[in-house]
Amino acid sequence: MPISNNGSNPQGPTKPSTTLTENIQYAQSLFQDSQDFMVRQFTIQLTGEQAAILFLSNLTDKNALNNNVLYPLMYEKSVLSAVAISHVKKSASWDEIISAILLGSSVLFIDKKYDASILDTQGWPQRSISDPQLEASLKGGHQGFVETGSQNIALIRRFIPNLELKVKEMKVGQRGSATVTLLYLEDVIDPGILTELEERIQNIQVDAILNTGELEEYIEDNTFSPFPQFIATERPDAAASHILQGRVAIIVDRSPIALIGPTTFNSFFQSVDDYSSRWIVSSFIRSLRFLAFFIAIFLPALYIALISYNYVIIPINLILSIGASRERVPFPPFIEAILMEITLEMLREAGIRLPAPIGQTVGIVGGIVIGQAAVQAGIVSNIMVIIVAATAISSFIIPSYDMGAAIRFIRFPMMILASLFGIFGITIGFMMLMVHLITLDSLGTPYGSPYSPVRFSDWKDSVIRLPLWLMKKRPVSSNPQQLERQTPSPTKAEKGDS
Amino acid sequence: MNTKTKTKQQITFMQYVFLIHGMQVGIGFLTLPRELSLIAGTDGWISIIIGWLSAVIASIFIIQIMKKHPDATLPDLFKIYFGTWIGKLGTMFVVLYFMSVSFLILFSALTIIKVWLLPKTPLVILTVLILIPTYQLIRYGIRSLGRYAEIIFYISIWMIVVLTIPLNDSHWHYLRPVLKEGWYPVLLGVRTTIFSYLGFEIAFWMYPYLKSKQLATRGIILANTLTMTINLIVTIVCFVFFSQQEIVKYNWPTLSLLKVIEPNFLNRWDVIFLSSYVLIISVTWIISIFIVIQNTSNLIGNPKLEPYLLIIFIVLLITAAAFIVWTQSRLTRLTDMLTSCGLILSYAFPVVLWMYTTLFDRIFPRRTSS
Repeated sequence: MPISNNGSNPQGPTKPSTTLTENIQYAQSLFQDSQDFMVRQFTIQLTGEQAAILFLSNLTDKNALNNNVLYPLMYEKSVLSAVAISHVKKSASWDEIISAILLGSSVLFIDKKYDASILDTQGWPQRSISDPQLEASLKGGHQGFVETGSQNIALIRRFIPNLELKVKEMKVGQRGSATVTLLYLEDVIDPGILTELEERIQNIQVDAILNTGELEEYIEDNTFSPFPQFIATERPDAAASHILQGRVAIIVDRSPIALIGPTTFNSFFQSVDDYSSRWIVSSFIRSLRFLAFFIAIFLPALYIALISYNYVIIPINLILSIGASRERVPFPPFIEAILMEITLEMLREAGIRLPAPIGQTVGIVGGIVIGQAAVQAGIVSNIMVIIVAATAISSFIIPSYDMGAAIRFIRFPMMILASLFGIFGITIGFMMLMVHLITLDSLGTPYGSPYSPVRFSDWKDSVIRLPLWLMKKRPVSSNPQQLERQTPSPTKAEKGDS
Repeated sequence: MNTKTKTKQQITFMQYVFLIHGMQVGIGFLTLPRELSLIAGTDGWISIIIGWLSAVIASIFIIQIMKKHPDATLPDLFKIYFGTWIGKLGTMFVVLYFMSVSFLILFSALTIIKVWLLPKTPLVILTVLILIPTYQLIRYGIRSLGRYAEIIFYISIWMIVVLTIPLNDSHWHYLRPVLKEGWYPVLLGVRTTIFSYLGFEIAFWMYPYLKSKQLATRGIILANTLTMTINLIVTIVCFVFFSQQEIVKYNWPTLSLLKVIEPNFLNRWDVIFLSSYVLIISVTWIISIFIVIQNTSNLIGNPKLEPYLLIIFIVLLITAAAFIVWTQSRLTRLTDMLTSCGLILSYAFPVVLWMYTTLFDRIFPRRTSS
């Protein structure tokens, strides 16, 4: 038996009858025990017909319903076609009617007519548009995505007022059906990538998708990778910039995050501010981020390897001072490092969900305990504290939270390898990491681009950022149809020629 | 599905170059200066250039053969020109050769690692460890192999720069006079140097995957030239740094060279250098294993078995590490054996095969024009 989208009784009638009371009774039987289901019966002034309007009281904009629908019909001799609602749709299917009511529309039944009118009077509790929380920016806009899909689409459209910007809607989820919207530039995007993505979304079999992250896990290429394969952004300007580069933005209604795909490893190190500050300065910051990537992954492992195996590498003066600071520490370097790194991770996790005033307390307590007291008590060495601090700072420089989290996780297997095999273990770890990044795909395009496969043309926007006028072409990694960036988009006729 | 995943895997021109070059730069570059110095003295660098010339000639023959059937690998050519059974026999020899190459390279590299870095760790643990990324990579086929060879080349360029640091204390007069003992020792040295170019024969397998086939000859010459440049730099640096009496004392003079470099923030370069060297040399055994797997599946005639064959071969390698003691003398014996086989496969065989195929195509023009 097929499961109906909205849970209505599959044995019941599929079409409304022509009797008003019958329809009302049937609807009421479906919405049994739902106190917010409302039926308002009235007479249409002009024709004298009996009518009823059905809606869920909490999901409907009552102002619009009262002033634009009920009042004109009841007192102003208005006809239905003159109702001041922007979107009116006739329907003769219970399935569609019930879905509409569940999504916040109100439905008008008129006696002796079997088709009902679905009136777009949706109005639910909304948050106003505010600053993006995770991706603060110095010079970028201060509008972040909100929980209403249609508003998010509007935010992106404001950046790209172009006919080629297509907005394609899909439904995902059997019970809590969510609207998933794909935004892309039709004359730029690789159609292969688009069909691949659509197919993956259509193949999702799930009860409900509550968040973009869930969708991401269903459509990504490799679920067993710690690395994010889609950019999750809450900034409309970032989304627009990626769409212009030939990528797709995926917006899930009810979630304030847009997914961008196909992505590359490189794009997680870019931030909107890079393009609005001086290119020399932002090149410097970019290279810092890549340096931070290596520090955050390898520094603790290197410490372990150098102290426990390959101390011959360290110059004699340094090894003496490290030895002096480790003199009182009873643990081997691996235990010492794991202890500190785990404490740091706990501290970070504790800080995230605490309200701001308590969060500060945690910071102070953690800082003092981790730093001063642990060293004085002889549990860890001074050098270890410096290394933990450097690692933490490095992992927070990465603009993408997901990438930072992946890096923080990879550090631990690296430390284990280093504690077992020293420098050689780190080499193996590096090799595995590199091989993983090389073989990873994002929507069928190489994730490691432009570093592997090497594409020098894309290096203009990688570890360094060259001046914008030099970036005349879109990145090849997303395989765009139209490579030229700084030219006006061709008309349909011109496109036909090429 | 995506149209791209359906089409056959391809490699770019640069990936093709770096795959061949990566296969060539192996253990050789650690031992070459010593061996050359033993045979040809300080004129050994001339042998390298002559070796390059012969490698290039043999490479061109290979590409000429491959051009006749752009989508066929060597086993397919065997089938076309020698029939099914003799072809299978030939493929079997090739499989055996590359199997031995992967054994030799893997265990030579791990022996060096063991001696210099981890003397107490059993070889089998190192083998298991290093085969994890190997498996990870080969599973994804030639495309990821190409990307790997490419990125390894770029991230190893610094090593060549580091190797030239000892030039500060160089003694260029060691090289003079040029040809002090005549041409004879130089020509004797060529036999050693052409071994260091072995690896271009993988063009037999890489050519069908190459995206722009018209560049194949240029690519293989470029790869040989890159290899020559690196061998030349390493050898000359060793020659002008060590005296001839000194150089023969070290098994791996290239590594001993690094012991000298002492920047004030690092005490010993060689440890770091050696760990990175694992990356370079890994390309060699990864390609060898890949070719073994490909040819075996071709022998069986079922490409679906490749993942299982890969696992079987990796288990075989681990078993070999566990039950065979890989002493230096054993490795040397294996090297000598493979040198002869390699010389035949890479230098003599292409020429003969080219003449045979050309003749064959003249006599039976229809049979091969499929």
